[in-house]
Amino acid sequence: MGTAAELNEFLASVEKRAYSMAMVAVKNQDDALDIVQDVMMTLAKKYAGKPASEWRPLFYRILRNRITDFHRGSSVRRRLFGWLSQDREHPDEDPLEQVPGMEQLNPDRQLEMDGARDKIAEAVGELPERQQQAFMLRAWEGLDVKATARAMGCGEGSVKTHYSRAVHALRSALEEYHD
Amino acid sequence: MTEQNQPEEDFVERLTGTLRDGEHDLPPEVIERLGAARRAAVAAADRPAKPVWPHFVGAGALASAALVVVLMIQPEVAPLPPLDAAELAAAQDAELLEDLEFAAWMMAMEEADEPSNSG
Repeated sequence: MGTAAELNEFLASVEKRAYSMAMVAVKNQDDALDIVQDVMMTLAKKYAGKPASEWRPLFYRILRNRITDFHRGSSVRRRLFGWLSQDREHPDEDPLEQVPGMEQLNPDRQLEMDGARDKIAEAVGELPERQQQAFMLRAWEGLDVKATARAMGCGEGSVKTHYSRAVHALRSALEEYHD
Repeated sequence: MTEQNQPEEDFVERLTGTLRDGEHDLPPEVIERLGAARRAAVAAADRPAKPVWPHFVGAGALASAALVVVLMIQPEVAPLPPLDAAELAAAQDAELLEDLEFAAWMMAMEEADEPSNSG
């Protein structure tokens, strides 16, 4: 069982990366902060009594769940508000096409994405969710396949598949970063 | 990362190196909020869960005290005279009597209905 000091040290070691990952996934500062705050509190309340060596995969598993929950909630909200705001003069238009998707960035945001870091973050953010998780955990966080599988709640074979596809997609999206 | 070849490893390393660099350039307000969230989480973990039994002990003591007060201040009520044997037997048979009365009423209703049923 870890102590309060160990828990503080662990959270301090992952908080910035977790926030950065959440930002890539949800593309909004307040939402990303809310997610990380919730993950920290959940880990502290439910799993602080676990051995400190188990915290990292647990932390990233909770983070994955919160991000997934966020996307599900966003999807429902988009459908609901898209339906509510449907233009009655043009009933044939699909309201979902009028709602900016996660991948569509406004011009201001596009300007912010000029740097290499932002381009990479954007490319990672556009990966399918499971590939994104595999890349973040395996490459960015540096978990091994087994720990990544625990964090993602799937088998090690699935991790390898998702990760391989993620790298392939990123190579296509970020050709300028090849040798 | 044994599942990768060297060019891929280099490519991934460049990407992750860039992403990790970004973690050091977070806005001050974000760093502040992350620190506050961490301190709140550690405080929540440090706070031992309150055991439930003191609440029951407290509630029990309160209920006992209230009962004592009620017993002390309630006016004296004259005790009811004890039932004699016949009354006691009657009380025990009250339910049976009600059943018998109900059966008699049903029979009377059926008799009253018979002319219309047979007609």
